[in-house]
Amino acid sequence: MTAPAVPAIPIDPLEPNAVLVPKDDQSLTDSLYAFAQSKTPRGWWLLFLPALGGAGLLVTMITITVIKGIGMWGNNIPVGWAWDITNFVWWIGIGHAGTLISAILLLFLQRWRTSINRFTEAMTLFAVMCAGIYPVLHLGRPWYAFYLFPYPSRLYLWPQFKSPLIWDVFAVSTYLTVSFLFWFLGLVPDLAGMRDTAKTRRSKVIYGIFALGWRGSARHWNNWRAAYLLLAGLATPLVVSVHTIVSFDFAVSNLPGWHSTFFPPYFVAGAIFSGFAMVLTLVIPARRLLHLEHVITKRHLDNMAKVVLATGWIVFYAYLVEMFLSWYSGNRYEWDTQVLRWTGPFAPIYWGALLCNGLSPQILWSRKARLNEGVLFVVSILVNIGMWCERFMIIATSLSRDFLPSSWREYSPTFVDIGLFIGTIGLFCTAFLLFLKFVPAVSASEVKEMRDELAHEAHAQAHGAHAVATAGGHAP
Amino acid sequence: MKFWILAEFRSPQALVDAGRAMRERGHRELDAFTPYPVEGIEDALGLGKPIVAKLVGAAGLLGALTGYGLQYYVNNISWVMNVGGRPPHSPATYIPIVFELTILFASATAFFSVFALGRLPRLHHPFFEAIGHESASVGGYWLGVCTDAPPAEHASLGQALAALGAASISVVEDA
Repeated sequence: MTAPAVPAIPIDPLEPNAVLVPKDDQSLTDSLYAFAQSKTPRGWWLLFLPALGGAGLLVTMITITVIKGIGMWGNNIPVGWAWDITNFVWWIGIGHAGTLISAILLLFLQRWRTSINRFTEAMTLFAVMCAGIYPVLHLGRPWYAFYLFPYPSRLYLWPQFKSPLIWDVFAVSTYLTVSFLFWFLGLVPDLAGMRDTAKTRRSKVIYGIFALGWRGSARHWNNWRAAYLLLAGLATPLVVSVHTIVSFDFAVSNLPGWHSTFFPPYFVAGAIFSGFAMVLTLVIPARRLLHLEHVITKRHLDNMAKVVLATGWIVFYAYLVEMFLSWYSGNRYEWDTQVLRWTGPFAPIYWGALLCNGLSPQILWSRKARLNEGVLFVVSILVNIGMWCERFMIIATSLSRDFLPSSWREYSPTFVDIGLFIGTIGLFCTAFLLFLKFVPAVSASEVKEMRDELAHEAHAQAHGAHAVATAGGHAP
Repeated sequence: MKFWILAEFRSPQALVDAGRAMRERGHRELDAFTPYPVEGIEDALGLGKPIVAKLVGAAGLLGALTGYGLQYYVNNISWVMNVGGRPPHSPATYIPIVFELTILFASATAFFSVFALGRLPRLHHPFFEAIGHESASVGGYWLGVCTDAPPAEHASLGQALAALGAASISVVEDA
């Protein structure tokens, strides 16, 4: 078989839609599948083993929580929500950028998403899984979690449909399901690709089963394309609704510092901000580990950095609005809560959030910083920390200082709280590393389709220019 | 007995042209096997518009009705609970769950309709009998012509495909 002729595509890493693929289909496909098909490098194991240890820690801490009860946590009255709900909101928020990149950028015809959407959708799935652990454990008796779902029972035990907490159950479980369907639908053609390029009989059979017999039929693609676009269209409002509903958990109560109609946009902006930061945290090492620099170019990192900068400003604006609203409300308690955030026992958390989320992304104004992976990585980590601080600040400061000074109480986490948090990070990393190992981390079919389109356009443009030149020549 | 004449082309354009040519010659049972959705192939093969969107719309409506009906039934028929004098039937509080179930039903339908309409999962298909069919998920663009012509006439069909630029041609029995 001779290699097909490949039309030349501009190889400028900063060209808007460029994917550096000066390769024929065979070697492009091989380069995207290589990590999943070749021997596992030592670097993967060096990351995987600590991650697995973290997941083990999670199992231990869940066991302690279930056996001894949530008295093992630092939660108290009035601080009934603490690290658990902080982590829940933080993880869910991280998940949102995945859907944003794969769905919203698809609808906006941002082609650079093609190289990173598989990564980010996987990130969404695993982040939502981590998030879901916390509220279920927080039930205290998680074996009664099925009470949350509406099922006919002799007790007439129905969920309270007028409570945002039940809306949350529906929102998060729908989000997990839709994220999985969207991810898997995009994955099926690549599973077929893995089947067809498998080197051993065993992997051919396993990938073959998961590919569900996909054969790239034009009839199937016809439906696939329609369904994929529809799923993107459905996932887009879903993302906004999920974090809106998460913010309702707070906004609907009448606690100072929570009771604000401003919460939904505040939370959604923070979610996108933290999620993009997490994408950077994951993609920067992964593109090296998997040798994907030719499809995830510096241009991609540059674009993501710009989104981090822009959403960082939205979040910072939200902080300012929050301050303004608590002052403008004329409500003594609202304003006192605000002042206590600046000066109270949790002040370091507040200023930490402001520093990490407001100040640290400002370095991304510099093009040099955006093209420097080290700087980007550090900023992305700082934003992750800052967003965690923000979630904790919102939850703990309001709860520990409510209306009556007699009910004020401090909060400090126990080793179980800390262990659970480290544990979910471990679970997330374990799942993500397994994903990198067993599944093509970049959608080969979409990259090839995009390359075909780009070649087409380059061709049409060259022709157009030629036509204009000839027309010009004939003009009087 | 039916047969698939399968021809591999080396570029998407050649595939679309060949598909159109075969259709113009009166072949109706055509299919293409490609690594990604090829622009214009659905017109060339006369596949028509997918009905996925209609199914998804209907499912979304069903989801909305389910969400509303469920909450209405629980709050107004099964167990009427008076919390702080709020009306049992309060549509505003039903919005989030109605919305979520709309999305859930519509998304699940979008996903499953791809497989149901495509008769998948089907782990084996005559196409997989063709030698070199693996390229259909890498860089090969395959055209399949399903015919009930006797085997003696396959050669002329193959020649026609070769004249359209096919790089390799296989004949497999339809299951």
